[in-house]
Amino acid sequence: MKDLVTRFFDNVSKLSGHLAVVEDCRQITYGELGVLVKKIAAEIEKYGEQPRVIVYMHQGYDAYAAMIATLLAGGYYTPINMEAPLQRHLDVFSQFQPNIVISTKDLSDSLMLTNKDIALIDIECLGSDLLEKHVKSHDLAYVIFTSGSTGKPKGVMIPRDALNHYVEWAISAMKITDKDRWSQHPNIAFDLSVLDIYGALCGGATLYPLTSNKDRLLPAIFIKKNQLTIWNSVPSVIDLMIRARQVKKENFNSLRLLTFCGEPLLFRHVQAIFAANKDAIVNNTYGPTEATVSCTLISLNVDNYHQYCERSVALGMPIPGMKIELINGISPDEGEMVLIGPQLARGYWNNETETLNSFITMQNGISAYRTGDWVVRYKGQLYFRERIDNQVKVRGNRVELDEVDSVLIDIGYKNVCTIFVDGNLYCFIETIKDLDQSNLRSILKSRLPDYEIPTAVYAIDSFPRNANDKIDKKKLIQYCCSD
Amino acid sequence: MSNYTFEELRNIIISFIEPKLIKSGFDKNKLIDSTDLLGEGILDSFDFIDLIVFIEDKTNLNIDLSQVDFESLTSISGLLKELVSINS
Repeated sequence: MKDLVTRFFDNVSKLSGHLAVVEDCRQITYGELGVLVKKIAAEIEKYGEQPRVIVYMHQGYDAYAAMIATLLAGGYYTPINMEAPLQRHLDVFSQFQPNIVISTKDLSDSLMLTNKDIALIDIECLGSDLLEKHVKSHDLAYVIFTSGSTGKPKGVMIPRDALNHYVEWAISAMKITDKDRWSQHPNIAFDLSVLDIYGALCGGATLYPLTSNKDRLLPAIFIKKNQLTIWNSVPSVIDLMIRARQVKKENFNSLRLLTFCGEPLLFRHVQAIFAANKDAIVNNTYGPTEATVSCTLISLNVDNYHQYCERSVALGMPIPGMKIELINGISPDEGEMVLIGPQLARGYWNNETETLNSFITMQNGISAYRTGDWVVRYKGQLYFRERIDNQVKVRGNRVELDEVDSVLIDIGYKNVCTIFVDGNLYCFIETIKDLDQSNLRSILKSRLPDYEIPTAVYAIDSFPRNANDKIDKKKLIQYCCSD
Repeated sequence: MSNYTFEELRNIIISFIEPKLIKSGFDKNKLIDSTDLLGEGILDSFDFIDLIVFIEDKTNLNIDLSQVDFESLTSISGLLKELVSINS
């Protein structure tokens, strides 16, 4: 299988003058991006073999170049969500223990890097050396940190072979060419961005990151302005477009393909898309971070989409090489989805307990990942039903409810319960005292990303409990709905 | 502005923002008309679009988001300036 760094440099050779990335106020060709990658890689190589690298930058070609450069130099990286609070960044630093941080001086100042074992590569002050040779690669490509139930983010270790498998599939299945103009909407710390970055840059397409407030608020206008041919995001972004009344023919007519992952795609999403562009293809994909972005596909068109919409759109069939099994159901047509195949993660970074819980060995001795997603098979198609644990998706972002509880327990509350109702988080604290809402919010904001901050935090004298003395979450849900 | 006074428009915006202040933990007393509602985390992208739709529904004014200057629109004063401009 061709390595993704080789794929990228094939494009640097073949498409040297072709635009690789177009940002709001600047752009870069494949030839120029290739030089930038080699310059960063030359700096990385100075600090030893197979380094652990943190990419500490906003989305844009500097960050993409840093990722590819790390792989060229044989290392592996973790990207940081720059919108998350500093404490969250520090948690990732503390766990990942990088050898190198690639950033700018301004951005990295807030980190106050005092550890002399961590080298800073300032993207704005690179030398002129280029790394021309291929360096022996580490087994891993990247580690993406997601919400963890203990209150600390959990690092998913993705092997380079898994990433190569995924990228090869994506370029072929999505028929990427140098004519494609591709959105880059998801945060680079969210693995859906992996599809954009490597799909586009290894496929010869031009990538368009949405960086300004206006572009992120009005993505449909962005599509029109740049005449994008491919859109990739979580389905919630289509909701945003629908609410802004922007899902219109004039905005969508350049799109040939829209691809979704991260949360259930709904009938209203595809209906709006096909009303605006009847010639488009809508790809619904499914996959946890632990299986390298996605591992199923169903392609919908204006003629067939009705037959694949139940409560949500069908999850599709496994992509070549990947396999799905359902376990623990009362019939073969329902159960927890288990994934098998070359795209599985190596486990969680320095977290053997969580790794053993989720990465299992099947009866036939094959390794598998338990997704925690309960699905049903109906007319040959798989449909998502519910989670079997405390993980939810808030606008496509993965959240462990226990993580929100952990922050409040950390500051002294003993009994805390966070629930998820109609897409929002609500937190209940068992206390007879009034809550200092302002202080509480400040603490939550300093520890959690925006999407993990509850819509409301309620004080409750004592939790309603059921016959087994467990917190009666149904009553808490009623409380939220009646508030 | 034929149907709404400047103050009434301001009140419409405030009535939407107030519940969001609690969620964001932003001190109500520190909210001024030039506060960047997105930058300060008072509104997220969905809230902001909902605010625009809320204003349109309440006033029957049409805000063409593709044409406006976004850098100033994300504050109360920016929104008011845009509404006045649309109605003039």
